[in-house]
Amino acid sequence: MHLAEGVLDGPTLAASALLAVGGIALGLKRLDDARLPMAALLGAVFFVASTVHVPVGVGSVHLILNGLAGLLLGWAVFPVIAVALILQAALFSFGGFAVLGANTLLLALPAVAAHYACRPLLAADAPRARLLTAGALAGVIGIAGAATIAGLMLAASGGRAFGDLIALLAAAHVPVMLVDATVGALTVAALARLMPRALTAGTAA
Amino acid sequence: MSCDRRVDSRLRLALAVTASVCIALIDHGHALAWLLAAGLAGCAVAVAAGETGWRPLARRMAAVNAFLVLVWLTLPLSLTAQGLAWSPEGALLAAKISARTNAIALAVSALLAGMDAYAVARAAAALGLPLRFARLMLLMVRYVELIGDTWARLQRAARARGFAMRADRRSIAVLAQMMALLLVHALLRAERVELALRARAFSGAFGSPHPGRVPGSHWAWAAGTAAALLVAVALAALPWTAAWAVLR
Amino acid sequence: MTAIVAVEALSVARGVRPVLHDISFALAPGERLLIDGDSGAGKSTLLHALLGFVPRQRGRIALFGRDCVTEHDFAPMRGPVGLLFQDPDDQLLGPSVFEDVEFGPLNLGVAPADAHQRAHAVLARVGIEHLSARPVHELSGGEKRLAALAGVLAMQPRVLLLDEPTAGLDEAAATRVLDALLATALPLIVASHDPLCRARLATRCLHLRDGRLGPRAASD
Repeated sequence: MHLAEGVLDGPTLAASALLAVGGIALGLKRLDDARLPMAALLGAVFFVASTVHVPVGVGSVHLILNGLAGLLLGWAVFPVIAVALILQAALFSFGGFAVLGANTLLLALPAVAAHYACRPLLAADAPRARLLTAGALAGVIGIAGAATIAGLMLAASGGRAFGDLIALLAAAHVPVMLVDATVGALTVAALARLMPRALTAGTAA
Repeated sequence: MSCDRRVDSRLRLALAVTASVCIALIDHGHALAWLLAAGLAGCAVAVAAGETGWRPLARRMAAVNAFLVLVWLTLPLSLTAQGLAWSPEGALLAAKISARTNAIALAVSALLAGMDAYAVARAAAALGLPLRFARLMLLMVRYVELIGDTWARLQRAARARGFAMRADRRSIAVLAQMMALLLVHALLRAERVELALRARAFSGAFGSPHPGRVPGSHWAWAAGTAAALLVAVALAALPWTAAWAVLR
Repeated sequence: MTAIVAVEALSVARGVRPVLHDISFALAPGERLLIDGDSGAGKSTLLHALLGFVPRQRGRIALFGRDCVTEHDFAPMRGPVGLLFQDPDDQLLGPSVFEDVEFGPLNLGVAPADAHQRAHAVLARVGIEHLSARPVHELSGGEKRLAALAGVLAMQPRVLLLDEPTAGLDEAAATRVLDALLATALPLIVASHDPLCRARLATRCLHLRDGRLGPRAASD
């Protein structure tokens, strides 16, 4: 879930853009040209996944799976998410160009955190419980992280005026987090059974 | 790609980005109102030129405004001991945010009307982004179609055997299985693409996508549009100067 | 005259599964050799092995008379030996058909202006010049096949390896592909179980069954 255009103020936009560019640069450096098609293919999977909506109670939520993307891609998730956001901004006006840095940061930073937290759990012969935990944890870190960073950005922009908005956004993220954690857990487990090397293919040297 | 012939898509993308950033920084109520009007006018021009229609524009604007509902629910309203309270400052802030969001969305929609993902990627690549990033974007656009196709096929196959996405545990399990299949498909293809690259003597570095020159008339168009946007902002200053003269 | 491709006692395994046993054959200049066999028999693996993409357990591969053992030997062969993959979507990178066709020559160190000219020429030869500016994902199956072929031909190969060139195509599209292949006048190794391929292309046929290569029995 990303922030709409026109909400954040100048200094917040500038600072997050700067940090995002740093993350993108780091991600690009770690991605050699030969692995671009692989990163692009995985990025395409997550782009398509974000169009899937899951019925929850009376409504539905969109899959985000930024945590899972980070788990598989590592730092390369930064440029991949940036590309996806540029396309969404241009084609659907989801998010926007001015808020691109902020949205990239709030989706990609937790994704990288999920990578460092959950990758160690994906050993070659990991039991199913550990695989499920890795996927679920990636989902939780991904969404909770995104909501937290978004809240911080809103707080920096509008202070107390945005208080209720931050609370509402946090609440809205809870079902998203539950869905992402569940889908993430089961997907990692399924992936381990179908193609064990898939779990480490994204970041293999 | 008629839009490329009419106006260079690089200029359109550059203007769209610039407009987004500039409008995002404007806090002046009247200026925002004029910019909203300018955005609507731009969209009307785009529709008249045949690049898009009112229905897709309306759909796009509806999606944009979905987030703003949350803004209107929380900024002007608050829960006090006496019940719901309405704050005029909150309402003004919400109004300005709504104006910014919509003005930017209208401007971007108008400027990028008729450009598909492929055109956007080519324009972005040609605007001087780092080589590897541009390549990544071009490849992602290329593969989104492919993966989207595969996903559609997976969904159709599941539905043909009676599966329907519901709010229950089995649906999520099936969805996760399909997602894993999609990832496997993508990774297997990545392995084959790597072989295909090597079969075409790929040495490990991609070359640059070549842009070509921008015709002079397109620069004129860009200058004109930028000027129009600036006028919109400047018009906002007029009531102030008039009021200032009256106050003197 | 030296054989263009000479294979002797080649054995290949994928992990622990043996796929090819003791394969021996040679492609003479001017020949168009068709290798057929059921799906999963190992036809793709054989073609990939010829370009050094699959590690081999035993045997000898010689391309243009030169023994190829390591990646160092195979790498310079990937221009003179052109491989058309089974799925054109694996080969087509885009963004447009023209830029994809240029990709191979540019990798070979051809100057951009010459690569440009080559791409034009080869697209015209294959008959898809009108598709030059098209994004690759907008092509039909047959058009993708021809675009992939153009991309390989732009590298000016001296022999072509073709993995199921007519798979999934209707007769009209398949005919176009076969016509284009015949027009190249290049020696070919074609892995295909399409009778149309056999009828129109092959000057000699071999059959791959249970990982072994042999002449086609009359009953097959």
